[in-house]
Amino acid sequence: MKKQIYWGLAALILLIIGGVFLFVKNQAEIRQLEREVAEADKLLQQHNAQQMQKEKGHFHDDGTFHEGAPTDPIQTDTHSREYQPAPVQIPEGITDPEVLAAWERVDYIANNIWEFGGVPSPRAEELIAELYPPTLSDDSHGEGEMDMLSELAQYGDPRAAVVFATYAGEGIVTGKGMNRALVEIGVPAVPYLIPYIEPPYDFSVKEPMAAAYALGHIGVQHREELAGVIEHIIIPKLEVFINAPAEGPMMLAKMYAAKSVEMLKNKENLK
Amino acid sequence: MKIRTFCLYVCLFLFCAFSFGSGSGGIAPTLIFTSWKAGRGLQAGPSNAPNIPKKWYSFATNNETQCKLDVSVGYAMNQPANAYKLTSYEFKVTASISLPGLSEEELKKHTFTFPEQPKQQVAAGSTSFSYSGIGALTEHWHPTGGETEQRKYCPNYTEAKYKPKKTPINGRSLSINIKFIGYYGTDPNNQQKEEILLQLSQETPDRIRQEHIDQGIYVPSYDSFVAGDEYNHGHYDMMLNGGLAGYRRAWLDKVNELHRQCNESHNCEHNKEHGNGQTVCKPPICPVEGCEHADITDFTLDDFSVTSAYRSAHHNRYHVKNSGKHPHGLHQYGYALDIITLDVDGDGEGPNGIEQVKGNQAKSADGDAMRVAAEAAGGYFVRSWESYSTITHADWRDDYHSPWPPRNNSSQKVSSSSSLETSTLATNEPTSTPSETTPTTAPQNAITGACGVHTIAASDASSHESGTYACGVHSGYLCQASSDHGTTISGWGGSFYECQPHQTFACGHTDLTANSYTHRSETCPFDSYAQACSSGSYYACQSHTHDYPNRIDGACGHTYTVGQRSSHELQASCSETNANGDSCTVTSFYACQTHTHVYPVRATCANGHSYDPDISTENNRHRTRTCRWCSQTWQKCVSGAPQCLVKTKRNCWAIE
Repeated sequence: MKKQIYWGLAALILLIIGGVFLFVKNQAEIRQLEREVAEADKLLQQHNAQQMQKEKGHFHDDGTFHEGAPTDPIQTDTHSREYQPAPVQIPEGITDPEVLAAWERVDYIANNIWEFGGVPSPRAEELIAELYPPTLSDDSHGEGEMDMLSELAQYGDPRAAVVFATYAGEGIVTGKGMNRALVEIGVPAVPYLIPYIEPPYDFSVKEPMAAAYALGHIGVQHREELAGVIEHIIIPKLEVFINAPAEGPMMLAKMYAAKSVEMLKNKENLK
Repeated sequence: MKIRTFCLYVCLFLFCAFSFGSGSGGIAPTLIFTSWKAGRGLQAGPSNAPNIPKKWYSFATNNETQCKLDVSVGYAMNQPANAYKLTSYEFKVTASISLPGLSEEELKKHTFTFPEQPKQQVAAGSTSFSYSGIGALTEHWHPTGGETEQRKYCPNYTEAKYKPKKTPINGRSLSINIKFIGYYGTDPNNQQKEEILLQLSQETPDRIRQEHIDQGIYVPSYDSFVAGDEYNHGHYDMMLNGGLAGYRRAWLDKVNELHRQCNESHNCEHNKEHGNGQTVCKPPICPVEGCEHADITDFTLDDFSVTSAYRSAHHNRYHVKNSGKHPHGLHQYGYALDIITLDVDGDGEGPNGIEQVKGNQAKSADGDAMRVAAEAAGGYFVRSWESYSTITHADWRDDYHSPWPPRNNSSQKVSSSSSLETSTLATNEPTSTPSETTPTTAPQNAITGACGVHTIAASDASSHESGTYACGVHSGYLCQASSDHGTTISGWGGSFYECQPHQTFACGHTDLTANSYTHRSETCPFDSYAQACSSGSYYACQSHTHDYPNRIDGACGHTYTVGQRSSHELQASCSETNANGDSCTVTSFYACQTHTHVYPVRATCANGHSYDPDISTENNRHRTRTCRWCSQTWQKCVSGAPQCLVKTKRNCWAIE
């Protein structure tokens, strides 16, 4: 009787060992599958990262994307280059010939914006026509204008300067994006910006923030094209503004102005 | 008897352990979905992979009216050798929509219809069965349907309980059911079938993405959605959040900086004007001597009230005043905040102490301060406007070199399925196109192509319009399509376009990266006799027949094949039984050897019963017992111990 029990137990142990073997084998297979799935995911993520890297570039208005900077088609374009020059009022009574030359340079820039680069774009023309002169629509959120401004900034059309300078200077749409757009346009924006750093300094009438920011950055980047303008117009005007009494939002504009003066006077930038 | 019991257990064990691998007779094949991709969903599969994430089963359509579907079915790995192969198959694809509040009739109008694929014969040697089709929707969700139509996304929106906009109410959810029916069997007139079902259903991120797709605006990625929080003013419990809490905090800090400055200046001026003989300013810095310091209370986050932050695309377009005109708004991407203007300058002027923007006047002192503070906090575009109070909107888009969000080509159509071997269509993200080229000479009657780059003859305009490239995946100006969008690569799993993610795997095959699972390395299992396959490992994509040692020099002295092994194994015991049910007693012999069965010698008891005297239980039962006191005899096979004749009160007690 006892021997029968031993046989039974032996068989039972065999069954258990067999069961454990199958279980372990099954688990190993599952782990292998998990590893392979994880590897596949990793590969996919690497690919996505590469794709994102590739996607650094610029978009066209229909959402298509191009690597690198937008092509400069200025040599082949046949688009209209017409625009209304910024009115430059040369102050009366200037005796210093260098200062006078600086003002005449500003006037020259205003009337010859295409000399300083940029691309005439029919789409930019459309956007400028829609945005300028600014009329506040019943779409008071401003998201429509922001959409258009965002698009306009990419065309590199110097005629857009009037739009960005006016919107920022009159406090319609402001922000980092407006300042950057003006810096990107560069020299042609200068005649539009100077009036906003002139007295009277009344924030409720005109806002000098974008001008104070952009003139410093443009000056540093285009010192040769702005020969004399920086030393005889921009820096003196900014210094007057900095020393004028101010409160509230004007304080921030003064900070921008101080930073710009510092940049323009920095010997490192005087190359 | 004990040998029989042991054999029973061993046989039971062997059956359990190996029946799946060495079954006999044809059995149904095990089928799986090896890969699938619906619309802008993931290229996913196989369906028997462990821990499949939900997003594998989620999708969003290619565009408002089309959804491409590609599905492949195959045999599961390690099919038993005797599993049937399919002789024919068919796919049945149905789509449905869940949208509370619509009748069945209405729902049908908003459901994608996929083309039928009739039952077809399996090509010789084919182990993969695929379906490729474009589901179409006849009725548009686009604004052509009108606002009333659009409100069907969320028919209950106007109910009071949803007015606190943070209550998720969810929009529609699309589903696709794919049923594969495989037929098999040797009798063509009596085919058996095996069915498997794949159910694809939109998870919340894809429901929201679908709203972007239907409106033709930039579609964020599935993984960019996060759980909704206090900045969620959409219809779902998920949202996009570009860092709204941080922007709000930074903005508030700048407002408080201005608040302190304004209070100083204003109070100084105020007291001067009133000529009370003393100038009173507030800390922290007072530029005038003789100031009396008073406390300035900073605004808190509670004061800095958010009227709108993240808005799902449908909500933004159809439930927010005027936003519908500008579908690319940053609220839909979690990058914009609307905050109620505060009395930043502390002068208490204006309604409720706040100077308001009025009508089409852009400026008010408090609005200006709010704007300037937002800019100081990094706001990209900022504006104040009049609503029930002056609201200041600021966004933090951060890609200067492009309009953001990117503009989709909403008219993009799905390419013909016949032009694609593999299914990938309109992807979410913009894709790079080659460098632009500039023609050197302008043709006569030249115009500028829609691309804005090339000056071309008017007759050539169509080749410069935007559209979908030959790959069917990417879009852009047709003149700018690089060769990788048109060049096909003959991959292992079929042709695909060079622009699609692909790689050459260790197996040597070039295929779509998404198919990497198919090219994984497999290790050969041992055979049922623990013999290793001679190849050791192989790739899943390769046709592989295990090569186990098939010639065995047996201990019995014979050489035999693996399949013949059972005929040559050492046998522990013989299973033969005679007419009495006794087993042959011969042990330890090879199955290939003959032997003479030996059965136990049987005895006959006093009652004529035949029994095996070597089996103790039988012997005990049939042997004759003698009482030690009265000498009576008895056998247990007839009765128990009788009454003793000597010891009258006891039963007989047998002599051992």
